[in-house]
Amino acid sequence: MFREVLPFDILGGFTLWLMTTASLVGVILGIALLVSLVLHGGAFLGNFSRGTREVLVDLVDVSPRRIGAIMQVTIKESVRRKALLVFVVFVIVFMFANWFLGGDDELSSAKPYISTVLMALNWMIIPVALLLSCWGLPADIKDRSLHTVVTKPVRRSEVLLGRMLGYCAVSLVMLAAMGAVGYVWIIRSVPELARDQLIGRVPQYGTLKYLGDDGVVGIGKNVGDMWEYRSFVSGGTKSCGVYTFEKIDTEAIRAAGVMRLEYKWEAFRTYKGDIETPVRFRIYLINPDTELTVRISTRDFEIQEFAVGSEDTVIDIPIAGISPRPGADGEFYVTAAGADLASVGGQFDPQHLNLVDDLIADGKLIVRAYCVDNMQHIGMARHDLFIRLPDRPFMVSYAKSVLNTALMVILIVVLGTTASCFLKGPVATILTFGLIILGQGLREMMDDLLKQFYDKESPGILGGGPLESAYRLLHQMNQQSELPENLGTQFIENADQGIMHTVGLTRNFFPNFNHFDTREFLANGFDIPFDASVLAALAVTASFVLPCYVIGYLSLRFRELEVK
Amino acid sequence: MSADNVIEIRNLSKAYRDFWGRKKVQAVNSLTLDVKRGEVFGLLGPNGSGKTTTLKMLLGLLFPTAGSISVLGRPAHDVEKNEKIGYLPEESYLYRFLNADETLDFYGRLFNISKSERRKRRDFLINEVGLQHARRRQLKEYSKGMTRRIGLAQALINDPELVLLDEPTSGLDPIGSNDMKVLIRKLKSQGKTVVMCSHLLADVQDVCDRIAILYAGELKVLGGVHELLETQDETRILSSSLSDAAIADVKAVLARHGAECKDVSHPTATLEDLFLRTVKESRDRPGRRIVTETPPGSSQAS
Repeated sequence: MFREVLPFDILGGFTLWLMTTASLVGVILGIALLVSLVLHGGAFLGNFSRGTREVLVDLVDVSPRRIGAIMQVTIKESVRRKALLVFVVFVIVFMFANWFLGGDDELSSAKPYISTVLMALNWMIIPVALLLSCWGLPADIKDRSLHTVVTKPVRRSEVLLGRMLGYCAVSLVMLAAMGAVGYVWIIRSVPELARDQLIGRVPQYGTLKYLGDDGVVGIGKNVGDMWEYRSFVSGGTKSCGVYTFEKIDTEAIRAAGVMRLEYKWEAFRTYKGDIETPVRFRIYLINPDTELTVRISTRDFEIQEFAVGSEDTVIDIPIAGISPRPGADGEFYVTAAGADLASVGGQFDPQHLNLVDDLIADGKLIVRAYCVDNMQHIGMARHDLFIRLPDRPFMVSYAKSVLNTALMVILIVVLGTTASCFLKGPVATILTFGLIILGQGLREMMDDLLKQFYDKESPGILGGGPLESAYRLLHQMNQQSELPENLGTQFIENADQGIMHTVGLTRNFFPNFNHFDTREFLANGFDIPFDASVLAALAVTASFVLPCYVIGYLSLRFRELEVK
Repeated sequence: MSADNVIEIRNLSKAYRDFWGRKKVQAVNSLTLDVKRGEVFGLLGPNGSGKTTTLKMLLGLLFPTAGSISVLGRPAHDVEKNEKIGYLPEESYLYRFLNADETLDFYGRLFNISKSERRKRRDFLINEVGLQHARRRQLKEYSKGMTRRIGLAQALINDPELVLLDEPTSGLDPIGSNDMKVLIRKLKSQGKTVVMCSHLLADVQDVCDRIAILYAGELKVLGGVHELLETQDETRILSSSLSDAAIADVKAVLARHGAECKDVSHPTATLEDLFLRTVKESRDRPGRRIVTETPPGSSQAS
């Protein structure tokens, strides 16, 4: 798990949506006012207000029965055009998929099986949703069957909604059927050895800060790794990683009888010696209020430099029923099945030590991790350590994954149908597909660039904006060299500023499709977090439905269907 | 808008433009006319004269460049006016994957007609247009004539006040064409207003009360069919068959009154009448043949 898992900021997202939508509405109204002025001259205000009122009525006063009729015809059309054959193809693919998944790696891991199903689901359902939604309405206009519909008392908004709902229904039914087949296939195909990986681990992440060698808060060490995901703490010093967990679900832990910690750190050795000798580390639990500090286990934990990443490591800490035992080093240890606890400070009665009562204060717990070996380092990231709450069934995680795909399908249908209101089928397909590609790949890149651009503390975008980059390419300059100071470069820098501001303004018009991707969670045996994934996906889809509905309606409303 | 008028068109113009906004064609130019309640009105003109464009502007499928349209007291772009309108397009633009029952049910639902009422109207209209035998077949399997019939049925599903027919007899055989004309007369007798565009002048003459003739987008003729076609300076008297002597007497009488007898002949029926009569008789008495010439290779005529 290397993706930042943050709860979706629903209030922030809504505010941003409101601002973006308001800007869009402002632009549309401005254009409408201008057109009214050109067409009607002095009477433009009256015509504008009457037109606006008519548009609002069309958008709101829709008939469910008419929408239902159009939706039903859309479904029939899709079915009779054999769209459901995709499901048959999906089933056939999975009848033979086991032929290609029989390698040694697949015998001990469920990941390839889960990934295959999720990938196939996406690859099958995205083209279906894309083609149905992008080609349906233009074909309807080309065949002129839409003309007969709109000569009935049908609002263009009803046509649009009926079409959108129809395509959604067809795609979602197919997705549900394919999802069910995929689930059965996973359950039946995953080898016996990997069955225990079909779970939904529920992690509770904390925040992470690093203490330097002198024990003062710092930023962690960079060991020269290109990948800056982890920062490192040095062994044999006061340097450590400090994880602070808040809002811990103590009731769940109490009910389970154990608190389960799971870690996945990386070792970095400055001297090799015996390559098989592991790097050692210790973990301490600290009550943030009483500062009662308890070391987990009398033994040091070990981590292999080149084995990191292959397996997660779990420590089960029983919350009670622990018994005292004096240690050889004079410290007083408490032991329990599966884990040892050692007292190193604070006031408590070891006879009655209770993890939840004595170490977790108002749902808050601090965990410190030290590297023991001198000159060696351990790399830590926020998501490398988490409290593992009671696991959820795999089926629940899988259902959430399919739900996220369903939300993506709805978004594609909405975007595709909207594009098809003003573009012909092939162009609408290219536009929608472009939005998917942008939303999956370029959106994160845009966000990163804009973060560098707007961050006051950042030195700016390395190599400058697009024009400056082009200038550097032409003049064979590297990214670090200073640009010569002249009028031309000043112009380039200013133009780049303008371009970046424009990118900043328009990026919200590109849906972030990364929120729909749940493969990392599911394939790695994690439960899909509702707040970080499902809610985010829901918010992305919901945020595009209303603007697309309005844009699609306006495109149809002011389009001459019969124009030559 | 006058209560007598179902449609009022004032100074209506429509120019088709290219992508850059340059005018390509002036399809309709300053058209002004009214259609009165309960009449059958014909829009005539050669290809490209603007009659279909006018019809489509009435329906809101095209937007006027200038002028105004009022249909049933509402502007053309108001969808609520469509509650009382039935429209048969030039080609029956229907969903070809639906069958006749599904087609009528679908369009009935667009009018928010209840399920039981839809079923009743569907059965009635399918019977009326003679498609009982093909009601479960998808429209893509229909002939052109059958498609026109189901197109007409969908136009009448809402029991409209105003029926707009674009080339209603196009693609129909003479029997279908005659059925269509009978139906138009029936609609008129029910008090409905019918506006039709057609190239087939005989059909228009048969059923229309008033006509407008357009040429190059401009109105050239407007008025009642009877008034427009009546020749005021000639009189025709139709009698039972006369002998040569009687004809001579009639001519003498005419000469005495200062009139000239221009033509004396037996009236001929129209080809349509002959065709319909032949088909009817062939149905009633199969095997009987009526010929005026001996077919090549045949020794007798019956």
